[in-house]
Parts: sequence; structure tokens; C-alpha cells
Amino acid sequence: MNLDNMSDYLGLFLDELDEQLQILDERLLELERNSFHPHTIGTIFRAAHTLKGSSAAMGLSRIKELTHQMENIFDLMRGDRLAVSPSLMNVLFECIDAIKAMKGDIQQGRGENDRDIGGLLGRLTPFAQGQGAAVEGLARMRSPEAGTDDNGQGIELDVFHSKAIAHAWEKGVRALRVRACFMPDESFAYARALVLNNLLEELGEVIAAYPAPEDLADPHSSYDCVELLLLTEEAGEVVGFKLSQVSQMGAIEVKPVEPDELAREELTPRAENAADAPATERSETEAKAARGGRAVRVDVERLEKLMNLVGELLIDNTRLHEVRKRLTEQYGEQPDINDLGDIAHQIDKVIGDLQDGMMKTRMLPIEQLFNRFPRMMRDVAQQVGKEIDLVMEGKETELDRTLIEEISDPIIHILRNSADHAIEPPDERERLGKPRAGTVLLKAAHQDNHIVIAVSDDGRGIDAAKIKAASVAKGVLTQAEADRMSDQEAVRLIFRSGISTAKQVTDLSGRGVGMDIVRAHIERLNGLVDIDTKAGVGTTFTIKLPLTLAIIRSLLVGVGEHSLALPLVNVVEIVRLEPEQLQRLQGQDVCVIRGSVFPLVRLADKLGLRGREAEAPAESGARPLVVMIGVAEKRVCLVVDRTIGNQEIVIKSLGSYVGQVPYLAGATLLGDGRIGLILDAAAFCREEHLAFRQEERHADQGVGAETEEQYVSFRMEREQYAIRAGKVREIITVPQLSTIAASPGGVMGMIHLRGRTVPVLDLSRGLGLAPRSQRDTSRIIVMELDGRELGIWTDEIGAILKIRKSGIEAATDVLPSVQSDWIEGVYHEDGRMIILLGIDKRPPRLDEALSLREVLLSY
Amino acid sequence: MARILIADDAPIMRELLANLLVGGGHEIVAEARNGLEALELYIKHRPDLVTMDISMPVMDGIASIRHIREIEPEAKIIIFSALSQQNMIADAVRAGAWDFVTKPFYENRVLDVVSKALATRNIDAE
Repeated sequence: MNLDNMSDYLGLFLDELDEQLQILDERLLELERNSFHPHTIGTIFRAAHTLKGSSAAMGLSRIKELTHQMENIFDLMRGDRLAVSPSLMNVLFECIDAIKAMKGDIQQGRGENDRDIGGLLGRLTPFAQGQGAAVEGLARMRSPEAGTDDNGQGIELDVFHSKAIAHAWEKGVRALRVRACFMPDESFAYARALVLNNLLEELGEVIAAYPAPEDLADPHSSYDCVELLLLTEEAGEVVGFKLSQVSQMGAIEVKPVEPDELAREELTPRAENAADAPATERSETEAKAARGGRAVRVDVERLEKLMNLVGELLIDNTRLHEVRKRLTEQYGEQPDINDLGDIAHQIDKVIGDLQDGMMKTRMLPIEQLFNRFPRMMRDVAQQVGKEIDLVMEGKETELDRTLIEEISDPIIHILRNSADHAIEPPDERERLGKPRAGTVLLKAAHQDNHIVIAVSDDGRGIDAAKIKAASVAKGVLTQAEADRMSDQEAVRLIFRSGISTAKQVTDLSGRGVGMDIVRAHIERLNGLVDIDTKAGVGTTFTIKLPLTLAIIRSLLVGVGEHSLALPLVNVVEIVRLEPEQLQRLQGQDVCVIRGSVFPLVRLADKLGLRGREAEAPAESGARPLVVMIGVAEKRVCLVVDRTIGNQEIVIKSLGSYVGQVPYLAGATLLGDGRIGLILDAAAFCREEHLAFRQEERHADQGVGAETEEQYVSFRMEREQYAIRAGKVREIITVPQLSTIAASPGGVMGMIHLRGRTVPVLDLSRGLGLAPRSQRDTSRIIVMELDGRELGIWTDEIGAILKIRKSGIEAATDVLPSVQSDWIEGVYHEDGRMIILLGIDKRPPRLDEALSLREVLLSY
Repeated sequence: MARILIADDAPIMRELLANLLVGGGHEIVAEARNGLEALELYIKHRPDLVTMDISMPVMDGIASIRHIREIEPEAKIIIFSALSQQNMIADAVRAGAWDFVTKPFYENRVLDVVSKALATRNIDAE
């Protein structure tokens, strides 16, 4: 058969090859560790068998030959006629590697014939012929008359079965051998066998069938009878009677099978922990198989197209909301406009679900990737003579399938480094009082819309001093720069290519091979990477990536009249700087945040936009708003005029028309139909760091120790207020409000929230405003104060603000007339005044019939 | 005696089966013209047994079996199919059919499969 004709199937075959190789890898490792488990061998055997069949069908004779020989060996193992030995395992692993190599060749269109498998086959043969480390099998199990099957048909019970039977016996479940013959004129033996199977599955577990029902599907098959091995708690007579109720059946025999004595003895010593294993394992595989049966393979490209369409919908949806908002402003509360609002709201929800659903179809558990690592770590550990336990957590974490491939290399690099350099040799570890075997923990988890992957080891850690010394020696740093550099920054030097590939650093620090590649990969994915290390204790690498590449959550910022989008994954924090935090260093603008120095980029200047910043150049007294962005380990602060909000955007390429524009990653359509430019965070970070040598100065401790608190801002009439976010439980749209008679002043009414009654306060009375009436934008902030829930009525929710203590002005300075411990202070943002209310510090006393103004101003 | 629901899109087949089954002492509680009707009528009448054709419009027999078994995992459904494709019948059995009968529908075969299906029901009830 010619490969070209098969190209349609090649993709499917390669997928299957991948899966089966994965199974072989995993299970062989398991076999090596636990030496023998009938289910493990069963799985391995089936994987090899499947591969043999499909490679033969594809005309790939070398893979077929190899898998055929492997299958023979697994068959011997299954029958306990061949023992697991290190030399055998190594050959088998090499066979898998050879098949993987051939798979690679095929993918590149070279076919499988570049590889010579003669040597491998030669090494397999002795094992297959029962030499090598062959052992006499356990005595074959025989049921009373099992051996006397006429015409030789029937289940040949092997060790796999005998152990399963012995396991069952321990739990009081008996084994029955069922033999059922078809009527001579039966032309639907396959379907009939399935009927029998269904019936027996209701009574217990069928652990073997001969022939397999599928084998009966072949119209040329000529089996007159089927034999099934059933584990059941039912008596043989009951099973026999039930079987007799299947129509169109001939003779039926049911015989009990005693467990093999040897198998039982073998089982007893480890019965306690192993007793349940086969059952759970089996049901797991069955569950997987069942899921597999309902799955469909879909071309990724189709998914991409659908995803794009969802992206378009998102844009249109945002526009719809803008239009609705404008109409509401123009025409107010008309029924049609309210309807439009309802519809828009509903569409919002559906699109949200659709997007989630689309995302999920593109998601795969990271398990697929993680499962490759145990084998790799085994090999690396063996090569370098170390003992390493690889512990993996969060295998079920799902992420975009394109990402899974992309992050493979960085993780491999980091893992290899851990094994190669970080983990000490066993003897050294013992001297240090650590366990002989080092532990490498690989962990994946979701965090908001991102995935965080952490690799931790308990090895020797990275010595910052040594990195500095080596960097100075290499001429990457001057001694003065090195002296000024913090340890954290020094450790990050390993991500620089000049250093990471440098042999001296590698030898001295025990780290650094290919770390620049890690960084480059993660940069390309718009992710972040961080290192946390402690000499002698270990190192943790943390990688943070967006969940998907197609739709990104972004922060919209304004510069002049322009809206620019920054991928949220790159946004580290938003800060309003004090004049003293702005400095110049080596002719470059920098800012000092919590004692660290960051390059400062004025976006308006950089992009040639005339922003506010440009009109009124920053002189002393200006307090610029900056967004700190990060790519991989680098951080840069961008000066913007304002932040607009979070939005999900779809990246559109700028097209060949415009070509590559510096600092721009692409464009997107905004809700108002205008084009928003997406900033390329990586470009800023790259450039600024070329020019800027991070020189940390533990500057002004006052700034360094600056604390921020989060506030929720809201609007009442024209005023902006804010309350600390800490006590805020949720923000809800206004539900049915029941007013209560004789309610204390300031209480608007009660709402029902998940079965609880929550009072809602109208601050407007206390603030000297007209009583509130409900609008579209009205929201209730639900707070928990002293264990009680309390709602605060607002006209509109603003944003979550990070407010620095030093930025708060005392209320008495600004509003001398107000004497209240409720108003904590006043904060300026974007030229607006925000009044900070300390409701959480002194909750209003509802039992007092005081107006809120009285409560508010009673001090 | 059993209460039986017949599902078949061919009126002649429904007629034939009904005659046969009534002749055997059973009661026909309803007749469905497709899989969806079979599902609705199953829910309404909760018959002891369903005879199900495979190829029917709207919803085929296999899907109908699956849905009925979701509602009532113990439901006894027998395939009555004129199909000669074994794989379709096998799929129906996988979907949870209890047994099957293929053409020609001899009276003794039909009554045999029905009484056998009911016999196991009685055992289960005990």
C-alpha cells in the first residue's frame, strides 16, 4: 500500500500512534516499578497489538515488524513465561523511541525507512524465543473440565484471568465459565453475542470472551458457540436460567471455575492493598473507553474558524451594548428600549456561554503533556546517576491545545535542569541531611483566566553571588552593576542568553542551560516566568500563561483620544505615581515602586500620539498614571492618561497593508466601532531592557513600604464615593425591594438574597441628595459587617481602585464642614475627587431611628 | 400477559405485530409511528415491553432505545427489524435492547422472545 493513497488516514493513524505510544511509555514505567500487574501487562499487550494492526494497515512494515515482535514479548509476559528484567525494559524503551523517531520521519514526509531496526529486532528475538530471563510460568489454571473443550475452542485461561479470579474469590465473588451455542441457522451471531454479553454484564463482570463479539461481525466467521468468563455473585443456576431466556439460542452450559491455588498464594501477601486495584483500574479504563466512544475528532482548523466567528460575535455584542446605552440616554425608559436591553442582556449571556463552550472544545487536560515527563525524568535521572521522584499535580487542568504543544519545550528545559543540576547526587544529599531521592514537583492550576505551571525542586538552589561573579567574568556586568544588583535580579540573569549558555555559569551555578530558550518561548506566548530560589533549599519556576491565544482579556487604556489594549496577562499592576517616584537614571526615565526601579515609557511620546501627558509635560507635581506590564521576567511601566476598563478582544492582524508596526501586536474592533490598537508588551520589554540595566536601589524606604488598599468606587448623583473592597461580598443588580413600615431612616427597604433578608441603605439622604430612584445602572453593593449583611444603594458602580495610603487626604482638609468618622478621606484620581467612606469601620446602627445623615454626621 | 408498546413506521407491520401479540394473549397499550412517539408513549403508558423497529423517521429506534433506557434503565425493549445489516442491530443491542427478532417474523419466534423477556422480568421481581 502506498502512503500517498493513505494520506487521509495518516493523520488519524499518527494520532493513534501517539496515544498508544503514550500508553506503552506509561505502563512500561509502571511495570518497571511494580514489576508485575496483570492489568498493566494486559494494557501494554493491547497497545502493541493495536499498533501492529494499524501500522500493517498503513503499509508501514517496519513499525509493524517492531510492534509485532513487542507484542510477542508482551504475550509471553502476560503468560508469565518471561520475567521483567532491566535489560529487557531497556530494549523495550529503545523500541518505543525508535517508533517515535519513525513517526517523526513520517510526519516530515520521509517515510519510515530511514531507520534501521535490524539491531533492535535482533536484541528482541532472544527474549521472544523465551531465552533471556525466561521463567517457568505459574502453573496453568484449570477449571474441572476446562481443558476438554471440543474442537479446541474456548477461553484459554492465562495468569491474567487466574489472578482476576483469585482477587474476586477473596471478595466472595465467584467465577463462571459460560458456554452458549447459536442455532444452526443464526445469521446474526454478532448481535446475538452482544445480547448475551448485555445480559451477563447485568449479572456481573465479563472478564473474557472467546471469540470476542467483534470477531463475530465478520460474515465469514464460523463460530458456533461463544465462551464467556463471568465474575458474579449469582448462583450458576440463576445465570443459566437467565441465559435460557435469550431467544434463538441452542445449548447453554454454565460451570464454576475454582481459583488457581498458586495464583491465590501469590496474591495473599499483597492482597490488602492490591485487592481493590483491578476493579478500580478496570472501571477507569472502561469509563475512558465509553467516553472515547462518544467523542468526535475534529480538525483544529475548523475549531479555529468557529472561534473566529465567536470573536466577531463578541465585537458585535459590545457594539450592541453601546447602541443600547446611547438609545437609553437619548430616549430614556421606553418599553422598546427596555426590551432591547433585555435582549442584549440575553445575547450577552448566550455569547458568554458560547465562548466558554468553544474554549472548552479547544481545551485538553494538561495530562497529555505531563504524561510524557515521568519517562523523560527516569532517563535523565539514570543518565546522571541521581534518584528523583517526579510528583505531578493538577494533571486535569485544561488549557488550549495549541498552548500544550508550545509550553512543552520550556517545561522540558526546566525539568531537565532540575534533574541535571539542581538535585544533588544521592550521597551528597545524604550528607546534607536530605532524603536520598530528590523531589521535583510539577504543578498546574487555573488562576482566573490564566494557567499557572510551577516546577519546584528540593535541590541546591541558585547561588546569586556565583551568578554575579560569573557574569562579571564574562563581561556581561561591570563589578559596580553586580554590586548594586539584588539577589533576585541576579538570579534572573540566567534568562539572558549571554549568560545562560555560558559554561562557567552553568558549572558554577548549576543552572542555566537553555534558560534563554525558556524565556523566548514564554515571551512568544505572552506569558510570564518567575524564579524563586533559596540556596540549599530549592528552586521554584512559575510560568503564567493566558488560557487561550485567540481571544484575550485586555485592559483598555486611553492616551489622548486613542484607546489602546494591553493583554491583561501582561498587566502586573496599575499605580498612580507620586512625583518623588519619578526619577532619571543614566539619561533614562525610571520610576521607583516599592524600592525597585523600573523603566518608564511615556506611551504618548513613544507612539507619537498627542496625549495629555505631551501637552503638559511632566514637571514636578504631576502624578502620572502608570500601568506596569511584564513579559517573562521583565517589567516596564507605561504612562497612560487613563484606564478605561477590561474587555475581551479578538486579535486581528494589521495585515500586509500596514505591515509590522513597532510596539503593536495587532488591532481589534472596539465596542464603539473604532479600531483599538493592541500593544505588544514584549516589544516594550525587550527594548527597554536593552537600554536599561536594571539597577536596583533600595531607595526611599517610605515609598518601599507603601501599602495599597483596594476600594470599590461608585457614583451617587454626580459624586464619586469609594468603600474598601475587603468587606464587599458581591455587587448585584437591584432585585425586588420590599419596603418595610417604620423602617429606620436611611433604610430603603429589604431584599431577599438566597433566602436571607438584607436591609438596603440609601446613603443619599445622609449625603444631602434627593432620594434615589432606580435606573438601569443602579446596583447594590452587599457588604458583610460584623456578621450581618448590608446593602448599599448606588447609582452606578465605578471601578476597583488601588489606593495608596499616602494618596489619601484628610477629609477635614478638603471638607472642613464635615465632621464625621464616616468620611475617611478624599482621594484624587484623573482630576476627580473620590470620597472614601469608612462604613466598614463603623457600621450604621439600624435599630436607631436616626436618619443616615444623623448617623453619618453624629460625630 | 403483558402490556406492550409497538413502534414501527409501517402501518402494515404494526397491524401484523399487534394481531400476533394479541393472539398470544397480550395487550397493546399504544402504537408509535417513530422513535420520538415511542419515547412519549413509553413515558405515558410505562408498558412492560416495547417492540422497536430500527429505521424510522424523526427519531430512529437506536436513539429511542437510548432515551427510554435513560428514563427507565430496566426497560425491556425488543428489536423487530427487517434490516439485514447486522451492525445496526448490534448498535441497537449496545444501546440497551434486550433481544432482537429479524424477519421473517414467525409467530412462534415472536411469542417466544416476548415470553422469555417477560420471564426474566418475573424472576427479577421476586
